[in-house]
Amino acid sequence: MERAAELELVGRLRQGEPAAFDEVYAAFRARLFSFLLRLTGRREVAEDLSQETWLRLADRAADLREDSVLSAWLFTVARNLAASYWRSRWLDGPLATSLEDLDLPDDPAATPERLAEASDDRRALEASLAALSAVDREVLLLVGAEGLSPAEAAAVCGLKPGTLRKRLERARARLTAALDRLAVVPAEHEVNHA
Amino acid sequence: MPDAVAARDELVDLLGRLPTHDLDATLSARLRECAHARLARVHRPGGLRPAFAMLFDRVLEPALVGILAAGYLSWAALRSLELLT
Repeated sequence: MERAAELELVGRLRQGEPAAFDEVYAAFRARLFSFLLRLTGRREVAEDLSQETWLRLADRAADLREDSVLSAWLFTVARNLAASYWRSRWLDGPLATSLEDLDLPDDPAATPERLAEASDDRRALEASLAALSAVDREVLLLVGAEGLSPAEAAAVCGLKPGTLRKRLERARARLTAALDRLAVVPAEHEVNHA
Repeated sequence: MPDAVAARDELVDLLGRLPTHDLDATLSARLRECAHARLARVHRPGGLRPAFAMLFDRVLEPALVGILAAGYLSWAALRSLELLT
C-alpha cells in the first residue's frame, strides 16, 4: 500500500467511514491472521485475537494519529494481545509444534507440482518456526514473513532497533539450527526464484 | 562465514514465501459486521462512553470545580477580614 493512499485511508478511518475499514480489512485480514496463527500455534486462539484486533481498530479509529502506519498499528495490537494471552495461559502447556497441530491448509494458488516441491521445505520451516520461542518467532515473522523493516518491527515489539537486530540475528541462528536438526538446510536447497 | 550469511538470507526469503492463511468466510463476514457496528457506535455523539462519564464531564465536573473555587475564595476573604479587624 502506497504511503499517500495509506494516509488518505487513515483520514477516512478517523471519520468512521465503513468503506475505509473494509479496505484495511481486505488488505490486512489474511496477513494478520497468518501472523497470529504462526505466533500462537492455535487456530482458535488466532481467530479470537484477530477479532479482538479488528474490533480494537474500530473502537480506536477516531483516535488514530493522522500519520499512523496501519501495518505497524495492527501488528503492534496483535502482538500485544498475543503476549497477554501467553501471560495468562503459559502454564497450560506448550504451543503446537507440528503442522498437524497447526492445521495449516495448503496454499490454494499453488499447482500440485509446485506444492509437492515446496511441501518439504515449507513443512520443515513451519515446524522449525513452531519449535522456536515466541520471542524468536515474532521477530522472524514480522521481518521475514510480513516484510516489516527492522525499525518497524522494533516499534511493534517495543524494542530499540539495535536490540531488535541482535534478537533477529539470534532468532535466525536458532531457526537454522532447528532446520539442521530436521536435516533440511535451506542453503543446500535449490530455491526457485522464478 | 559468508555461507552462514547466505543461509540466513535464504531463510528470510523462505519465510517471505510461506503461504498466507485466512479466516473462515463466515467468521470473517460476522467480524466485519461487528466492526462496522462498533465503528458506527464510536462515531455517534457520545460514542462508547457511559452516560455517567458524559454527565460528569459536561455538568458535574465544572459544577464541582465552581463550588470548590467559590468556597475557597469565600473562606480566604473571610479569613482576611478576620485578620484585618
